[in-house]
Amino acid sequence: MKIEFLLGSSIVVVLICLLEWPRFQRAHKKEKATFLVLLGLGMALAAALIYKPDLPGPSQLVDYMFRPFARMLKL
Amino acid sequence: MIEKGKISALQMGIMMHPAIIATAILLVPAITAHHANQDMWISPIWASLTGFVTVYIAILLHNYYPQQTVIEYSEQIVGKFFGKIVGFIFLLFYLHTNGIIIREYGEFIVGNFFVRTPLIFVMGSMIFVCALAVRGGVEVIARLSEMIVPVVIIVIVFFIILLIPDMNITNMLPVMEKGIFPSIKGAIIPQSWFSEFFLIAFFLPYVADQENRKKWAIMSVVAVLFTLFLVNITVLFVLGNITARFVYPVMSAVRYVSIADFLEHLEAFVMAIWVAGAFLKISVFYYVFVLGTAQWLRLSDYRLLVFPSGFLLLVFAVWTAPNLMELSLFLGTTVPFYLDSVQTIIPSFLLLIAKWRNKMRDEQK
Repeated sequence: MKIEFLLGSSIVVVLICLLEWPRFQRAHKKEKATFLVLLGLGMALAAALIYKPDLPGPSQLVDYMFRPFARMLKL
Repeated sequence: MIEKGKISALQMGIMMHPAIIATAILLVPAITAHHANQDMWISPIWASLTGFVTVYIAILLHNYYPQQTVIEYSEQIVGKFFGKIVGFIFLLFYLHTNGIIIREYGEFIVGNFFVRTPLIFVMGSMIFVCALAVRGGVEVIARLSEMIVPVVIIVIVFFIILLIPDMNITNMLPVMEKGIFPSIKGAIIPQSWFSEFFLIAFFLPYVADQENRKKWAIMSVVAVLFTLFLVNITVLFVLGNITARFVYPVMSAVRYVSIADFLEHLEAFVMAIWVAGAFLKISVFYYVFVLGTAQWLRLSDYRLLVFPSGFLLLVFAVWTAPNLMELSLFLGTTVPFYLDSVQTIIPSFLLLIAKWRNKMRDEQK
Protein backbone atom coordinates (compact mmCIF):
# COMPACT_ATOMS: atom_id res chain seq x y z
CA MET A 1 0.00 0.00 0.00
CA LYS A 2 2.76 2.39 0.99
CA ILE A 3 4.77 1.68 -2.11
CA GLU A 4 1.73 2.45 -4.27
CA PHE A 5 1.34 5.89 -2.71
CA LEU A 6 5.03 6.53 -3.17
CA LEU A 7 4.76 5.47 -6.80
CA GLY A 8 1.70 7.68 -7.24
CA SER A 9 3.43 10.77 -5.90
CA SER A 10 6.48 10.10 -8.07
CA ILE A 11 4.21 9.87 -11.10
CA VAL A 12 2.65 13.23 -10.19
CA VAL A 13 6.09 14.79 -9.82
CA VAL A 14 7.23 13.39 -13.18
CA LEU A 15 4.03 14.61 -14.84
CA ILE A 16 4.58 18.11 -13.44
CA CYS A 17 8.14 18.08 -14.80
CA LEU A 18 6.97 16.92 -18.23
CA LEU A 19 4.17 19.48 -18.31
CA GLU A 20 6.46 22.35 -17.38
CA TRP A 21 9.47 21.25 -19.43
CA PRO A 22 9.09 23.85 -22.24
CA ARG A 23 8.71 26.70 -19.76
CA PHE A 24 11.48 25.28 -17.57
CA GLN A 25 13.99 25.48 -20.41
CA ARG A 26 13.24 29.14 -21.03
CA ALA A 27 13.31 30.15 -17.36
CA HIS A 28 16.12 31.89 -15.48
CA LYS A 29 18.43 29.99 -13.17
CA LYS A 30 16.72 31.27 -10.02
CA GLU A 31 13.28 30.14 -11.15
CA LYS A 32 14.63 26.73 -12.09
CA ALA A 33 16.13 26.37 -8.64
CA THR A 34 12.89 27.42 -6.91
CA PHE A 35 10.90 25.02 -9.08
CA LEU A 36 13.15 22.11 -8.17
CA VAL A 37 13.30 23.02 -4.48
CA LEU A 38 9.50 23.29 -4.19
CA LEU A 39 9.01 20.01 -6.03
CA GLY A 40 11.68 18.28 -3.95
CA LEU A 41 10.15 19.64 -0.75
CA GLY A 42 6.74 18.33 -1.78
CA MET A 43 8.12 14.91 -2.67
CA ALA A 44 10.15 14.65 0.55
CA LEU A 45 7.14 15.62 2.68
CA ALA A 46 4.93 13.18 0.79
CA ALA A 47 7.40 10.37 1.36
CA ALA A 48 7.74 11.27 5.04
CA LEU A 49 3.96 11.34 5.47
CA ILE A 50 3.48 8.01 3.71
CA TYR A 51 5.82 6.27 6.13
CA LYS A 52 4.95 8.33 9.21
CA PRO A 53 1.37 9.63 8.91
CA ASP A 54 1.37 11.08 12.45
CA LEU A 55 4.32 13.36 11.79
CA PRO A 56 3.77 16.54 13.86
CA GLY A 57 3.11 19.42 11.50
CA PRO A 58 2.24 23.12 11.47
CA SER A 59 -1.20 22.37 12.91
CA GLN A 60 0.40 20.92 16.03
CA LEU A 61 2.67 23.95 16.32
CA VAL A 62 -0.30 26.32 16.05
CA ASP A 63 -2.22 24.23 18.55
CA TYR A 64 0.70 24.37 20.96
CA MET A 65 1.22 28.12 20.56
CA PHE A 66 -2.39 29.25 20.95
CA ARG A 67 -3.74 26.62 23.34
CA PRO A 68 -3.48 28.99 26.38
CA PHE A 69 -5.65 31.62 24.65
CA ALA A 70 -8.25 29.04 23.73
CA ARG A 71 -8.27 27.73 27.27
CA MET A 72 -8.58 31.24 28.66
CA LEU A 73 -11.76 31.85 26.66
CA LYS A 74 -13.00 28.29 27.31
CA LEU A 75 -13.46 27.49 23.62
CA MET B 1 6.24 43.97 -11.34
CA ILE B 2 5.69 40.25 -11.73
CA GLU B 3 1.95 40.47 -12.26
CA LYS B 4 1.06 42.61 -15.26
CA GLY B 5 -2.68 42.18 -15.08
CA LYS B 6 -5.02 44.86 -13.77
CA ILE B 7 -8.33 44.39 -12.03
CA SER B 8 -11.01 46.87 -11.05
CA ALA B 9 -11.85 47.67 -7.45
CA LEU B 10 -15.29 46.12 -7.95
CA GLN B 11 -13.70 42.89 -9.17
CA MET B 12 -11.51 42.83 -6.08
CA GLY B 13 -14.54 43.24 -3.87
CA ILE B 14 -16.40 40.45 -5.67
CA MET B 15 -13.35 38.19 -5.47
CA MET B 16 -13.16 38.63 -1.68
CA HIS B 17 -16.76 37.54 -1.15
CA PRO B 18 -16.31 33.81 -1.93
CA ALA B 19 -12.82 33.99 -0.44
CA ILE B 20 -14.49 34.44 2.95
CA ILE B 21 -17.91 32.86 2.52
CA ALA B 22 -16.95 29.55 0.89
CA THR B 23 -15.80 27.86 4.09
CA ALA B 24 -17.53 30.22 6.55
CA ILE B 25 -20.85 28.51 5.80
CA LEU B 26 -19.50 24.95 6.05
CA LEU B 27 -18.39 24.09 9.58
CA VAL B 28 -18.54 27.54 11.17
CA PRO B 29 -22.32 27.95 11.77
CA ALA B 30 -22.31 24.83 13.96
CA ILE B 31 -19.43 26.16 16.08
CA THR B 32 -21.12 29.58 16.34
CA ALA B 33 -24.37 27.92 17.39
CA HIS B 34 -22.54 25.89 19.99
CA HIS B 35 -21.42 29.07 21.77
CA ALA B 36 -24.20 31.51 20.98
CA ASN B 37 -27.28 29.24 20.83
CA GLN B 38 -30.29 31.29 19.69
CA ASP B 39 -28.17 34.45 19.39
CA MET B 40 -26.08 33.05 16.53
CA TRP B 41 -27.58 35.56 14.13
CA ILE B 42 -26.02 38.46 16.10
CA SER B 43 -22.52 36.97 15.98
CA PRO B 44 -21.64 37.96 12.36
CA ILE B 45 -22.32 41.59 13.28
CA TRP B 46 -19.66 41.57 16.01
CA ALA B 47 -17.43 39.45 13.80
CA SER B 48 -17.44 41.98 10.97
CA LEU B 49 -15.60 44.49 13.19
CA THR B 50 -12.39 42.54 12.55
CA GLY B 51 -13.13 42.74 8.82
CA PHE B 52 -13.42 46.53 8.90
CA VAL B 53 -10.27 46.92 11.01
CA THR B 54 -8.29 44.59 8.73
CA VAL B 55 -9.42 46.36 5.57
CA TYR B 56 -8.52 49.70 7.14
CA ILE B 57 -5.01 48.44 8.06
CA ALA B 58 -4.44 46.98 4.59
CA ILE B 59 -5.51 50.21 2.89
CA LEU B 60 -3.38 52.45 5.14
CA LEU B 61 -0.35 50.23 4.50
CA HIS B 62 -1.13 50.35 0.79
CA ASN B 63 -1.19 54.16 0.92
CA TYR B 64 2.40 54.20 2.20
CA TYR B 65 3.66 51.75 -0.44
CA PRO B 66 1.21 51.98 -3.35
CA GLN B 67 3.11 49.84 -5.86
CA GLN B 68 3.95 46.87 -3.65
CA THR B 69 2.36 43.89 -1.97
CA VAL B 70 2.84 43.07 1.69
CA ILE B 71 5.73 40.68 0.97
CA GLU B 72 7.67 43.52 -0.68
CA TYR B 73 6.92 46.39 1.66
CA SER B 74 7.50 44.43 4.84
CA GLU B 75 11.17 44.42 3.80
CA GLN B 76 11.11 48.20 3.59
CA ILE B 77 9.30 48.60 6.89
CA VAL B 78 11.29 46.35 9.22
CA GLY B 79 14.53 46.00 7.26
CA LYS B 80 15.76 43.34 4.93
CA PHE B 81 16.37 40.49 7.39
CA PHE B 82 13.23 40.86 9.51
CA GLY B 83 11.23 41.67 6.41
CA LYS B 84 12.22 38.33 4.93
CA ILE B 85 11.14 36.63 8.15
CA VAL B 86 7.76 38.38 8.13
CA GLY B 87 7.35 37.44 4.47
CA PHE B 88 8.21 33.83 5.26
CA ILE B 89 5.60 33.76 8.04
CA PHE B 90 2.99 35.01 5.59
CA LEU B 91 3.95 32.43 2.96
CA LEU B 92 3.92 29.54 5.42
CA PHE B 93 0.64 30.84 6.79
CA TYR B 94 -1.06 30.95 3.39
CA LEU B 95 0.31 27.51 2.49
CA HIS B 96 -0.98 26.01 5.73
CA THR B 97 -4.34 27.83 5.65
CA ASN B 98 -4.90 26.77 2.08
CA GLY B 99 -4.15 23.22 3.15
CA ILE B 100 -6.89 23.55 5.80
CA ILE B 101 -9.32 25.00 3.25
CA ILE B 102 -8.67 22.22 0.75
CA ARG B 103 -9.11 19.63 3.47
CA GLU B 104 -12.41 21.20 4.57
CA TYR B 105 -13.61 21.13 0.98
CA GLY B 106 -12.48 17.54 0.47
CA GLU B 107 -14.05 16.31 3.71
CA PHE B 108 -17.30 18.04 2.80
CA ILE B 109 -17.48 16.47 -0.66
CA VAL B 110 -16.42 13.00 0.49
CA GLY B 111 -18.62 13.08 3.59
CA ASN B 112 -21.79 14.13 1.80
CA PHE B 113 -21.65 13.07 -1.82
CA PHE B 114 -18.72 11.01 -3.10
CA VAL B 115 -18.58 8.54 -0.24
CA ARG B 116 -16.44 6.00 -2.06
CA THR B 117 -14.02 8.40 -3.78
CA PRO B 118 -10.58 8.71 -2.14
CA LEU B 119 -10.09 12.05 -0.41
CA ILE B 120 -6.76 12.58 -2.15
CA PHE B 121 -8.39 12.36 -5.55
CA VAL B 122 -11.11 14.91 -4.69
CA MET B 123 -8.55 17.35 -3.32
CA GLY B 124 -6.03 16.74 -6.09
CA SER B 125 -8.49 17.35 -8.90
CA MET B 126 -9.63 20.60 -7.26
CA ILE B 127 -6.03 21.77 -6.88
CA PHE B 128 -5.41 20.97 -10.54
CA VAL B 129 -8.35 23.13 -11.68
CA CYS B 130 -7.24 25.93 -9.36
CA ALA B 131 -3.68 25.67 -10.70
CA LEU B 132 -4.97 26.33 -14.21
CA ALA B 133 -6.82 29.42 -12.97
CA VAL B 134 -3.78 30.66 -11.03
CA ARG B 135 -1.58 30.27 -14.10
CA GLY B 136 -3.92 32.63 -15.89
CA GLY B 137 -3.09 35.34 -13.38
CA VAL B 138 -5.10 37.79 -11.31
CA GLU B 139 -7.31 38.91 -14.21
CA VAL B 140 -8.54 35.39 -14.86
CA ILE B 141 -9.43 34.81 -11.19
CA ALA B 142 -11.18 38.18 -11.02
CA ARG B 143 -13.28 37.45 -14.12
CA LEU B 144 -14.11 33.95 -12.95
CA SER B 145 -15.39 35.38 -9.68
CA GLU B 146 -17.41 37.98 -11.55
CA MET B 147 -19.04 35.10 -13.38
CA ILE B 148 -19.54 32.71 -10.45
CA VAL B 149 -20.40 34.95 -7.48
CA PRO B 150 -23.75 36.25 -8.81
CA VAL B 151 -24.88 32.66 -9.43
CA VAL B 152 -23.83 31.64 -5.91
CA ILE B 153 -25.71 34.57 -4.37
CA ILE B 154 -28.83 33.90 -6.45
CA VAL B 155 -28.85 30.23 -5.41
CA ILE B 156 -28.40 31.14 -1.72
CA VAL B 157 -31.31 33.62 -1.91
CA PHE B 158 -33.37 31.01 -3.78
CA PHE B 159 -32.79 28.49 -0.98
CA ILE B 160 -33.72 31.01 1.70
CA ILE B 161 -37.00 31.70 -0.13
CA LEU B 162 -37.72 27.97 -0.48
CA LEU B 163 -37.07 27.45 3.23
CA ILE B 164 -39.57 30.10 4.34
CA PRO B 165 -42.40 27.53 4.88
CA ASP B 166 -40.15 25.55 7.26
CA MET B 167 -39.08 28.56 9.29
CA ASN B 168 -40.13 29.00 12.86
CA ILE B 169 -39.46 32.53 14.07
CA THR B 170 -39.92 31.62 17.73
CA ASN B 171 -36.59 29.75 17.47
CA MET B 172 -34.77 33.05 17.96
CA LEU B 173 -36.56 33.82 21.22
CA PRO B 174 -35.55 34.76 23.87
CA VAL B 175 -33.17 37.24 22.25
CA MET B 176 -30.04 37.75 24.38
CA GLU B 177 -31.33 35.48 27.12
CA LYS B 178 -27.97 35.44 28.91
CA GLY B 179 -26.91 38.94 27.97
CA ILE B 180 -24.59 39.98 25.19
CA PHE B 181 -21.71 37.61 25.93
CA PRO B 182 -22.84 34.36 24.27
CA SER B 183 -23.18 36.16 20.94
CA ILE B 184 -19.72 37.71 21.35
CA LYS B 185 -18.24 34.33 22.19
CA GLY B 186 -19.94 32.89 19.13
CA ALA B 187 -18.32 35.64 17.08
CA ILE B 188 -14.77 34.54 17.93
CA ILE B 189 -14.70 31.95 15.16
CA PRO B 190 -16.36 33.95 12.34
CA GLN B 191 -14.34 37.08 13.16
CA SER B 192 -11.15 35.20 12.32
CA TRP B 193 -12.66 34.42 8.93
CA PHE B 194 -13.17 38.16 8.46
CA SER B 195 -9.48 38.72 9.14
CA GLU B 196 -8.85 36.95 5.82
CA PHE B 197 -9.74 40.29 4.25
CA PHE B 198 -6.04 41.01 4.61
CA LEU B 199 -5.76 39.18 1.28
CA ILE B 200 -6.61 42.50 -0.36
CA ALA B 201 -3.07 43.63 0.57
CA PHE B 202 -1.90 41.32 -2.23
CA PHE B 203 -4.43 42.63 -4.75
CA LEU B 204 -4.49 46.38 -4.05
CA PRO B 205 -1.35 47.14 -6.15
CA TYR B 206 -3.10 45.65 -9.20
CA VAL B 207 -6.30 47.64 -8.82
CA ALA B 208 -6.70 50.03 -11.74
CA ASP B 209 -9.23 52.52 -10.30
CA GLN B 210 -7.51 53.36 -7.03
CA GLU B 211 -10.08 55.99 -6.01
CA ASN B 212 -12.80 53.31 -5.56
CA ARG B 213 -10.74 50.76 -3.67
CA LYS B 214 -11.85 51.80 -0.19
CA LYS B 215 -15.51 51.88 -1.16
CA TRP B 216 -15.53 48.38 -2.68
CA ALA B 217 -13.39 46.82 0.04
CA ILE B 218 -15.83 48.09 2.67
CA MET B 219 -18.78 47.04 0.51
CA SER B 220 -17.29 43.57 0.30
CA VAL B 221 -17.10 43.32 4.11
CA VAL B 222 -20.72 44.47 4.33
CA ALA B 223 -21.75 41.91 1.70
CA VAL B 224 -20.02 39.10 3.59
CA LEU B 225 -21.60 40.28 6.84
CA PHE B 226 -25.03 40.32 5.23
CA THR B 227 -24.61 36.87 3.67
CA LEU B 228 -23.42 35.33 6.92
CA PHE B 229 -26.24 37.02 8.80
CA LEU B 230 -28.85 35.69 6.36
CA VAL B 231 -27.41 32.19 6.35
CA ASN B 232 -27.15 32.02 10.15
CA ILE B 233 -30.65 33.36 10.72
CA THR B 234 -32.09 30.94 8.15
CA VAL B 235 -30.35 27.98 9.76
CA LEU B 236 -31.55 29.13 13.18
CA PHE B 237 -35.15 29.54 12.04
CA VAL B 238 -35.20 26.12 10.37
CA LEU B 239 -33.20 23.97 12.80
CA GLY B 240 -33.59 25.87 16.08
CA ASN B 241 -31.54 24.90 19.09
CA ILE B 242 -30.27 21.63 17.59
CA THR B 243 -28.09 23.55 15.07
CA ALA B 244 -24.93 22.88 17.05
CA ARG B 245 -25.36 19.11 16.68
CA PHE B 246 -24.96 19.12 12.90
CA VAL B 247 -21.59 19.05 11.21
CA TYR B 248 -22.84 21.06 8.23
CA PRO B 249 -25.94 22.94 9.43
CA VAL B 250 -26.60 24.74 6.14
CA MET B 251 -26.57 21.47 4.29
CA SER B 252 -28.96 19.91 6.80
CA ALA B 253 -31.27 22.93 6.58
CA VAL B 254 -31.44 22.69 2.80
CA ARG B 255 -32.45 19.02 3.09
CA TYR B 256 -35.67 20.31 4.67
CA VAL B 257 -36.75 21.93 1.40
CA SER B 258 -39.88 20.24 0.17
CA ILE B 259 -42.31 22.16 -1.97
CA ALA B 260 -45.50 20.24 -2.86
CA ASP B 261 -43.64 16.91 -2.63
CA PHE B 262 -42.11 17.80 -5.95
CA LEU B 263 -39.15 20.11 -5.33
CA GLU B 264 -36.99 17.97 -3.05
CA HIS B 265 -33.41 16.80 -2.61
CA LEU B 266 -31.83 20.05 -3.63
CA GLU B 267 -28.51 19.19 -1.97
CA ALA B 268 -26.92 18.84 -5.38
CA PHE B 269 -27.35 22.57 -5.89
CA VAL B 270 -25.70 23.25 -2.56
CA MET B 271 -22.79 21.15 -3.65
CA ALA B 272 -22.64 22.99 -6.97
CA ILE B 273 -22.41 26.42 -5.36
CA TRP B 274 -19.97 25.22 -2.74
CA VAL B 275 -17.68 23.66 -5.29
CA ALA B 276 -17.76 26.93 -7.21
CA GLY B 277 -17.15 29.01 -4.07
CA ALA B 278 -14.42 26.74 -2.78
CA PHE B 279 -12.79 26.83 -6.19
CA LEU B 280 -12.55 30.62 -5.98
CA LYS B 281 -11.41 30.60 -2.37
CA ILE B 282 -8.66 28.05 -3.01
CA SER B 283 -7.61 29.89 -6.18
CA VAL B 284 -7.28 33.21 -4.35
CA PHE B 285 -5.18 31.69 -1.54
CA TYR B 286 -3.16 29.65 -4.01
CA TYR B 287 -2.49 32.71 -6.15
CA VAL B 288 -1.41 34.73 -3.11
CA PHE B 289 0.99 31.99 -2.07
CA VAL B 290 2.55 31.61 -5.52
CA LEU B 291 2.83 35.35 -6.15
CA GLY B 292 4.20 35.88 -2.65
CA THR B 293 6.85 33.20 -3.11
CA ALA B 294 7.97 34.73 -6.38
CA GLN B 295 8.17 38.19 -4.79
CA TRP B 296 9.88 36.88 -1.70
CA LEU B 297 12.67 35.37 -3.83
CA ARG B 298 12.56 38.28 -6.32
CA LEU B 299 11.83 36.07 -9.31
CA SER B 300 10.72 37.53 -12.62
CA ASP B 301 7.88 35.07 -13.27
CA TYR B 302 5.64 33.05 -10.99
CA ARG B 303 4.03 30.69 -13.50
CA LEU B 304 6.69 28.02 -13.18
CA LEU B 305 5.98 27.72 -9.46
CA VAL B 306 2.26 26.98 -9.82
CA PHE B 307 2.32 23.20 -10.20
CA PRO B 308 5.05 22.44 -7.65
CA SER B 309 3.16 24.59 -5.13
CA GLY B 310 0.02 22.66 -5.97
CA PHE B 311 1.73 19.41 -5.09
CA LEU B 312 2.96 20.96 -1.85
CA LEU B 313 -0.58 22.16 -1.11
CA LEU B 314 -1.92 18.65 -1.55
CA VAL B 315 0.65 17.32 0.89
CA PHE B 316 -0.24 20.07 3.39
CA ALA B 317 -3.94 19.31 2.99
CA VAL B 318 -3.26 15.72 3.99
CA TRP B 319 -0.95 16.83 6.77
CA THR B 320 -3.20 19.38 8.54
CA ALA B 321 -5.45 16.96 10.40
CA PRO B 322 -5.93 13.20 10.64
CA ASN B 323 -9.73 13.34 10.27
CA LEU B 324 -12.76 15.61 10.13
CA MET B 325 -13.40 15.63 13.88
CA GLU B 326 -9.86 16.73 14.66
CA LEU B 327 -10.12 19.36 11.93
CA SER B 328 -13.38 20.67 13.38
CA LEU B 329 -11.87 20.78 16.87
CA PHE B 330 -8.78 22.54 15.54
CA LEU B 331 -10.95 25.12 13.75
CA GLY B 332 -13.04 25.63 16.86
CA THR B 333 -10.21 26.13 19.34
CA THR B 334 -6.90 27.53 18.16
CA VAL B 335 -7.38 28.51 14.51
CA PRO B 336 -9.14 31.83 15.25
CA PHE B 337 -6.13 33.09 17.22
CA TYR B 338 -3.82 31.87 14.48
CA LEU B 339 -5.72 33.64 11.68
CA ASP B 340 -6.04 36.83 13.71
CA SER B 341 -2.47 37.07 14.86
CA VAL B 342 -1.03 36.63 11.36
CA GLN B 343 -3.58 38.62 9.39
CA THR B 344 -4.54 41.40 11.78
CA ILE B 345 -1.93 41.75 14.51
CA ILE B 346 1.26 41.40 12.45
CA PRO B 347 -0.06 43.91 9.85
CA SER B 348 -1.05 46.36 12.58
CA PHE B 349 2.51 46.23 13.96
CA LEU B 350 3.80 46.76 10.43
CA LEU B 351 1.49 49.76 10.13
CA LEU B 352 2.71 51.26 13.41
CA ILE B 353 6.36 50.91 12.37
CA ALA B 354 5.61 52.32 8.92
CA LYS B 355 3.89 55.33 10.49
CA TRP B 356 6.81 55.91 12.83
CA ARG B 357 9.30 55.60 9.97
CA ASN B 358 7.47 58.10 7.83
CA LYS B 359 7.21 60.52 10.72
CA MET B 360 10.96 60.27 11.34
CA ARG B 361 11.65 60.89 7.67
CA ASP B 362 9.44 63.97 7.60
CA GLU B 363 11.14 65.37 10.68
CA GLN B 364 14.57 64.91 9.14
CA LYS B 365 13.50 66.99 6.18
